[in-house]
Amino acid sequence: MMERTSKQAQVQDALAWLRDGAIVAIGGSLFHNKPMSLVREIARRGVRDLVVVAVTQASIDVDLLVAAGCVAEVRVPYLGLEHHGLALNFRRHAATGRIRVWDCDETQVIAGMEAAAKNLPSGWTKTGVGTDLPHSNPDLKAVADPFTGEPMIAVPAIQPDIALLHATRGDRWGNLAYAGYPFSDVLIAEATHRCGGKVIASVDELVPASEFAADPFYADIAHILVDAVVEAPWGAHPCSSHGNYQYDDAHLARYQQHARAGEDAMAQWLAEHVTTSPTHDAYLDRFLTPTLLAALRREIYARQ
Amino acid sequence: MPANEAPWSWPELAAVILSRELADHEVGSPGGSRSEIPLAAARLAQLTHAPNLAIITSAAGFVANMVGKPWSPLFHSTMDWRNVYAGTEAVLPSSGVFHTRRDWFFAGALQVDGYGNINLSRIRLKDGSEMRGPGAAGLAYSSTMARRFFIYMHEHSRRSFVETLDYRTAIGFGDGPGSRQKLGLRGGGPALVISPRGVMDFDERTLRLRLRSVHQGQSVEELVDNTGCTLIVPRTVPWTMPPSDQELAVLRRQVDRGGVLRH
Repeated sequence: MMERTSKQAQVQDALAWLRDGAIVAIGGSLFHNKPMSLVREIARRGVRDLVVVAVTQASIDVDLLVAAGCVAEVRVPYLGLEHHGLALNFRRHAATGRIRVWDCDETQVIAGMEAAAKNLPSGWTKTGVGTDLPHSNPDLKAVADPFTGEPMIAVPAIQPDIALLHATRGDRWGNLAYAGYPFSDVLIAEATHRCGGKVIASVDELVPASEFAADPFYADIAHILVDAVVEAPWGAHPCSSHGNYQYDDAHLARYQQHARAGEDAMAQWLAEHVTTSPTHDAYLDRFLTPTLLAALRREIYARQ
Repeated sequence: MPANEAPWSWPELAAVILSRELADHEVGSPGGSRSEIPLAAARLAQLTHAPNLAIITSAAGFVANMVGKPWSPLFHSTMDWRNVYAGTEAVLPSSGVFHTRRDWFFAGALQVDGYGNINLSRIRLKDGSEMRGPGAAGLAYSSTMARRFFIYMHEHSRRSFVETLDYRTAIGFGDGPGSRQKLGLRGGGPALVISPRGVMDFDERTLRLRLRSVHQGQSVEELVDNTGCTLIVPRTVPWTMPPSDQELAVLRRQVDRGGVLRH
């Protein structure tokens, strides 16, 4: 009998698919479920000219890739660091014309991803009618509903070459489970898989496949949509793995201090956290102490 | 920013005023640039006059009601895991977040104009360069679809209240009467604008921004001087009704015991 193929992969092999200029979709939202170990590896490899799509909101994930010079175009409905302020590297690079900005609303990115998932050329929204969004973004086309004639906006299918997700647990066949909210990760996997792209997930824990087989309702994303599973304990840090550990607010504050101080300070931050920490294991040993890890877990169990 | 000598902070006052706008049995989402303010407003409404109000955490779908439940702290990050345990009874799938009706939502903005259109995308600076904001998030959608929305501005100046937006990210009343109908927009548009200086609504006929009240310690003249867009100023402008003892007690003892809104 033939053996089934394992999708467990080392990060270097999983990201071998990533080419300069690729369309990359990143999952999670804001400070949650961001595949940060994969993001740091991309920055380390010096990939260039990426078109980065966030479904739907981004923070340090996209800002870091912009700072590292990996990005040509940003397709992100909200890019900011919430209570820490605006995304300053993004702002600097946009102001100096080093990146293009594809202005959009969450529902427009979702319409484009849904179109890709259904193998359709475009998705339609009411969102953006009467705003400047279709003026500054030529991909958002003003159209008329064929039945009523009412104004609508059409969004072309967004077809990622690669999707980067972070889940709590996965198995070697590619099944993924989320302890907390999966945000829009299911849609990202559906869209990317349907258009022939590769879906790569980092997981805090790679568990025996029997854990998934014991309860078919356990998996949030089915293995058929996933191409590679990379084991990365605490792989979302400094973001949260929703329901598994909290975001590291002090670390995010330090990142923002460097971003605020300017490009030299930011280069120094990148050198420290990305370049001179050559692997995720090296990063863990350097920046995550047992005390910190305990604190990030404690808040998950703290209930009133 | 105008001085505040009142016995409550500006975020506390904003939360109390906004809570009064929310009615029983409504479904809405707190959002915007300091989302703990509208979240506090919605929880305060539940605990005072709107016990059947449902809060849907913006874009994450946690459906929450605080009535009869232990108090829970306010968090800066709207999707913070701890919010799952803050009165949440069900979680919508991500598609359900956009399939569920909203009676109201909240928007912050870099700029607002006299018809309640808002800019979250980019500001043109004096030297000709552009400063990027955070982007539309889901506000272009919710301004189109929600029954009404509330705009809260942390700064009330000629830079933020402008005659012409540098960019229209989300639509209020568009170019005036008839705009929303012509475009086939579903919701009713903006209902209220609140700033550290006062409360504004929209004239029923012209749909123009109209001064409704000024906060104690502020003056109509100063507010008008700091407004760059057309503003209807009635002959008499009342003071903003201050938080009652009951509102303040519930806010500080049940909604915000940690004092997030006071810092």
